[in-house]
Amino acid sequence: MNRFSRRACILGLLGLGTAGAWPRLLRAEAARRAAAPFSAEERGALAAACERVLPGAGEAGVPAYLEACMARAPFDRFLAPTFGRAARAMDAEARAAGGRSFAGLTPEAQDAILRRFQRGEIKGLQARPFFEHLVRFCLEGFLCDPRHGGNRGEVGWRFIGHHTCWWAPRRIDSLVRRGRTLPY
Amino acid sequence: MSQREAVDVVVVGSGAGGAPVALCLAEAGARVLVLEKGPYYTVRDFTHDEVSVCRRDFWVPWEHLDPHTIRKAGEPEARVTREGWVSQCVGGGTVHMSGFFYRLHAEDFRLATLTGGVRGAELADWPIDLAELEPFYDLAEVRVGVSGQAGLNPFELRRRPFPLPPLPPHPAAALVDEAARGLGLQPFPTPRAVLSRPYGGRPPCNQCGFCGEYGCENGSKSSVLASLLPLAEATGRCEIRPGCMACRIEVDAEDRAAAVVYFDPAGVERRVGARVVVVAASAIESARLLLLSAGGRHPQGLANGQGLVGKHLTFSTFGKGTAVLDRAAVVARLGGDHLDLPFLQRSLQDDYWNERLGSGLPKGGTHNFLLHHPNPINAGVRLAMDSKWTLWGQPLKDALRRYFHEEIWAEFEVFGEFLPVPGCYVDLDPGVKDRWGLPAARITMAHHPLADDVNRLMVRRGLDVLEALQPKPIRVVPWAWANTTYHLQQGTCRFGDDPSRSVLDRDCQAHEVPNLYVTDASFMPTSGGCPATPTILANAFRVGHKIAERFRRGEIPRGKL
Repeated sequence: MNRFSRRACILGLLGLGTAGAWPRLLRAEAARRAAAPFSAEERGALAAACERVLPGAGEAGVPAYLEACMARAPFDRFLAPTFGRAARAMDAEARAAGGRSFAGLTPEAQDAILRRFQRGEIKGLQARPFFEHLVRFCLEGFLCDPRHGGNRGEVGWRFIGHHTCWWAPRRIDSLVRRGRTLPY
Repeated sequence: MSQREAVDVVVVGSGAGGAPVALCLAEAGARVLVLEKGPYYTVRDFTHDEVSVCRRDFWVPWEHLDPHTIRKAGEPEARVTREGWVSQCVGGGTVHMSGFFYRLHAEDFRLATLTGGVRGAELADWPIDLAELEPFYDLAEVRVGVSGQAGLNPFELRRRPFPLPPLPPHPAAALVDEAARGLGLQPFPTPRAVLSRPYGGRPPCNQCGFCGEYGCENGSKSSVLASLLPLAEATGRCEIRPGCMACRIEVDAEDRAAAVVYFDPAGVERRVGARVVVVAASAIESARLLLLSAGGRHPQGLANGQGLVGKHLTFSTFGKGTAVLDRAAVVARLGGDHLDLPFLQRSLQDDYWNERLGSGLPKGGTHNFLLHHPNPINAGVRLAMDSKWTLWGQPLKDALRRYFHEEIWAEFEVFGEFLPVPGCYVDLDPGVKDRWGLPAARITMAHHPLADDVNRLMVRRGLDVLEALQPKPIRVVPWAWANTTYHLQQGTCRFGDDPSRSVLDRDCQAHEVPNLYVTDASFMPTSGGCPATPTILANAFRVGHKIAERFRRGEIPRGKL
């Protein structure tokens, strides 16, 4: 077994939070995640976090973009479990602060919890790397080509103004030759 | 393994090292098969979709499918990494290069002699000199299409003009010129493998700015995919086979290269006989292929009787700095026209060979001044991650607004000499395998401290230029003092005249294995002070002509296994 697949298994185990009967559970977990990477509660917490990380993220469709990414390889294996656990940790932090869920807190209270993630102060979680991933995916979802599901109505591109990323690819048919892309 | 296919020449890799050889030999009448591991993209596949092209696996597969491993010299364990790949597609790294096309200088060919040796470094003079390579630089520039202005770089020897005039620069180039000249430096227009006029049936650049990391949807970037490979295919004697992973080179009873074994796109192992085998899969992967070909009378790997394959690995030292200019102040100074042009197009080579640099090593490299890449997501991530604490929330949104509406980012990159050291090499990882079950290349990494010192001095010089800009920048940020550019890699199969100290002879043929050639940057004994792509092209044309000449003279008989 190479080191990488060993790490993948460890990631998977942490995602489950249990070491019992793990191969079967792991398969079941993988099947569930392929269909929908997050539960309703996880989805709600992550959507609220996206909006705090990048105001306007909800309007741009960033939460849906994030979930679509996490449903696909390789993020379904390597990142989705981390995001799910982080979302549950956000809710746990919210309850500890006297709220019912992260999404139900005031923006100020949400920011206070996110700052704890940013500083890596959440136990049992690689909170700081997760937070940096979250910022990256928010920026992707805000500024990506809309065909990925984010940047809805090109709201991100309108925010940044005239830009050559808008340019539709021009096609020079005289140069187009045979050949197909591989299913990598 | 039942395949009995045979051609005259098999070329492993279709990038800057492979394409010129394939073209030369196909034009000379040989039947050429090019095996390319990656897909055959065409201009239809090239878009400005930043997520797909730059942030996923468009150029390089995910590391759990195609791993490299990396460790620092002295560490026992290497970790899996995505570093050390050049892009995997027909045309190789030339497809997504920015196309900064500097030639080497005369000093690069005799660094050991000129410096008298550097303690801790394994310098070697090249067996050829610039005069021998110069006609092939000319040829490469003409055949792929390079734009630039001869005569403005006083440090470069070149006798012929560029085939195309320089690209139109962003108005701020005048500010860089003024600042650099004020410091006694001599800026010149950056030579680019980008068309400024229609050339060879291809249209000129549309000034979109999506060169680096992107394929050119316009066909204006002079990748070998746009320039050389269509000509090779048009001969009717060159076939490019994408999705084919070479895994072993076989030799005949007389130890001549005789066949290449590869996995086809379905993962089936196939074998193709050849009279000449040319390896050009990137410095790291070419060394790996020779090491993977161990067996029989070559227990350490092909051409590795001296244990030199994979040694002397060099990269490029790298530095970067940014001047954040106030857009309104620039408009007040220069007017508002043409501020959407993407290329700053200025370079300095005052520190390429500079006895007064003050580091003890006079060999530096190149400053390339450019505007920040138009990639919006990358810009956002850079804004967010630049400081110690990640920027987020309204401060991030405000930084984005300022960046896109109120600022112009003028930057420089430094490409410097990466001194070869014993601790920097590539071999086969004992544990990690790729998706074909082949041992991955393991990179062991070490720097020479002097190379890092020189790079820091060059970054300081670049910052001096940025700080002298008028209007005065809002801020000047040193972004990287002494980093490494892993996709610029050289030196794993040094060429030289002494078989005990080099893998290849002066014609890039293996000393120990006749008819086996390596034509990517593996041959380079020293890294040079600029990106090596034009040098790889020029040398591959040189070697291609040599092999074609051997074919014409009937010196290459068909081997038997």
